[in-house]
Amino acid sequence: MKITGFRSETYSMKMNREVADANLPSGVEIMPASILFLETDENITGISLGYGGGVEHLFHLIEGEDPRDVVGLWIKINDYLHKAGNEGAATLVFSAIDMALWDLKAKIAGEPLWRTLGAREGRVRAYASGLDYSLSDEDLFRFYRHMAERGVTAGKLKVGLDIEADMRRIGIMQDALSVAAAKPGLMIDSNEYWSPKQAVRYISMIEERYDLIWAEEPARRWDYDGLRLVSSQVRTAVATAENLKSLSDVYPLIANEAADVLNLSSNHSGVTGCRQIANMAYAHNIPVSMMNCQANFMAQVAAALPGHTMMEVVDPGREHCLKYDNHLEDGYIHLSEAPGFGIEVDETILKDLQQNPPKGKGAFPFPRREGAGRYLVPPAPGETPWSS
Amino acid sequence: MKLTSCKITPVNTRISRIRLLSDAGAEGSWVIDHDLHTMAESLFSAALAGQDPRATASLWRNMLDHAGDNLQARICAAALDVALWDLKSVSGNEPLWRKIGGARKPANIHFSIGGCKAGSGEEDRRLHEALSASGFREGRLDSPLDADDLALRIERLASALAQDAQPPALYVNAREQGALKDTIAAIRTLEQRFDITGIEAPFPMWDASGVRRISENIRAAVFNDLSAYGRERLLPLFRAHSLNIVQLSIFRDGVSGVLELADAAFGYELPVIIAAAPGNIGAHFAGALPYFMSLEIAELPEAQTLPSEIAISDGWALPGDAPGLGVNWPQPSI
Repeated sequence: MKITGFRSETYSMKMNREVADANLPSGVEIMPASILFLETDENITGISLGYGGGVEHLFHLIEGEDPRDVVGLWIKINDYLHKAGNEGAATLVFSAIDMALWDLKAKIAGEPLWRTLGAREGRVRAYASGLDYSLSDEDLFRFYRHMAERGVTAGKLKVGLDIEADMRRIGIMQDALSVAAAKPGLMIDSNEYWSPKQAVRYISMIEERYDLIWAEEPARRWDYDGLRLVSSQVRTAVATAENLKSLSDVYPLIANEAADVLNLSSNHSGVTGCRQIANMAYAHNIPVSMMNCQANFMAQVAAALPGHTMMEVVDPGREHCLKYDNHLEDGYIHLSEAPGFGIEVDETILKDLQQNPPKGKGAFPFPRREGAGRYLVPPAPGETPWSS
Repeated sequence: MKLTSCKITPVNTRISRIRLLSDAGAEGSWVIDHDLHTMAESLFSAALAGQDPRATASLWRNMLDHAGDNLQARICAAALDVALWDLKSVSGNEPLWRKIGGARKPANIHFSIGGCKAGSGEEDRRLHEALSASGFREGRLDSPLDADDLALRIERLASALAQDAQPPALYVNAREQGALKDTIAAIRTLEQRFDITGIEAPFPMWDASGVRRISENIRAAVFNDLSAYGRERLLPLFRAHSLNIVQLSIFRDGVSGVLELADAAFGYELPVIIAAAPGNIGAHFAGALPYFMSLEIAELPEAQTLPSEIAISDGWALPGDAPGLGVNWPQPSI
């Protein structure tokens, strides 16, 4: 089997609700997306979901190659990127290609990717994540209650700009989840808005009222000294790494004992790169947690990773042109026997999204907010439904 | 697909063949010491029977949970894991190198002459083998660092190896026998005469800071022997930056553990040496490990315990296209 061609489609979609964090509390509802189709000489097409174009810059490295040799091709692409670096847009393309190759490898074997990767069952524990900074208190409760009704027992709240409001909203999340568990798991995410010392102060205040599982990105993504400082001064585990690009980026965090949980993403140089990080983390007794994604497709990978704790589920409605076969029930993402990632694309809807781009509030990717790392700039009246 | 049974039959006086049978007809094989039959069978019953053999990642951890700290059980788990991968590859009609996602790539190799006396018939025979197989550019020998004949043996090994491309790579397995300062002094003395690529086990592997001190005081790379395997024993060495190369063996970590630990080593940019195994089947790893360095060859193809599809020429080992491990199993002996 040989790779013969590719098609890359980009589009915008309007989600069912806004998503927001401390850096952009007013939120966005328009999200850019891309789909990569890798074509073969045997009529099997590999699909991956990502965030960018530029596949033509790397495609020559896989053209004519057998997609089943995906790890060998990963090494080839990684070596090719040596001088320029596996960074930025290059990583997005690298990731998209690697994921589509794994989709192909599993489809050729006629099995779901979780099985190709050696998992016993297609089942991944989930936690709810509202990306909820721009949700009113009522909508916040509604979101986590909806998740709790599907058996989800843990939730992660966006925090950072207003410690009193953060405390109140953690309580709302806890109440909403309490129908699923007597003691719901609570997490917070400040998205690098705080300095390490701000993180120590605010997390310590929260710890006086709540028991947290983890605090995510309490310092800059690369700052292993700062992350380790936070971890050493608070009871809560420090989670980080979702915005890094590869195992080589994560290495300083592991070697310096700066992270207690590593957040994995499909943009960690694909399935192969993601698995490398998980394997290194496992050797160091560090749990890993898969980041949210469209149609929860990375649950296929999470199911097979050693030391995987739970996967982030946001479910803001990003699957307009995607057909997929997994569902959230009893607190777990349940994957089917559909081959590969188990995702198909509705080309009619895709074409319609491309020809009639939806309009709405959008400023993705999130910029960094004024004051970050130095002083708090609370949301102005009207910036969020709950600020006054 | 479900695993139905595990059959163990003798290959020779020392090792037996493990055959894992499935309800789909596909089977997978690897070898195990005679002494471990019973333990392998009971581990199969406890951890594998009735399971889907394709669930290699989950079954590997399941077996390790059963094996606990027992080294013999660990060796059984590793052997069963290799057989599972053989089954998984055979049922997909793919060679192992492809099943694990690798490209078909020649493996850089080194010839291990083991531990013998300089000028003994045994050593002469091993050196002759290395010479006649022509093309070996790398060699390994075993010797305590204070042995009188060590320099002579290194010299003989170096001159037996192909000189064409670059100075031959030399590895010495020091068998962790000396005190720390004596070991450093002995290696530095050797290094005045020879360019040594790597020293295996210059110090007990459970002393992570001692191993690091050796590494910091010699030119050669330091790597572990097989007493350090699995994340439990490698983690202290990783954390202390004791090693410059990581040696992994399918006899301790199976295929699953080797793949996992090679990723951990890659995080530190530590090259990986794969320890020798019958049939030289470690050649399958060359195209799939992110930082593969060299495969140890202890048996040449013409003198194999287990003949296989792995071809050796010009100092490289190339896996074939036969499904699974590519082992050509001999007829069972009586």
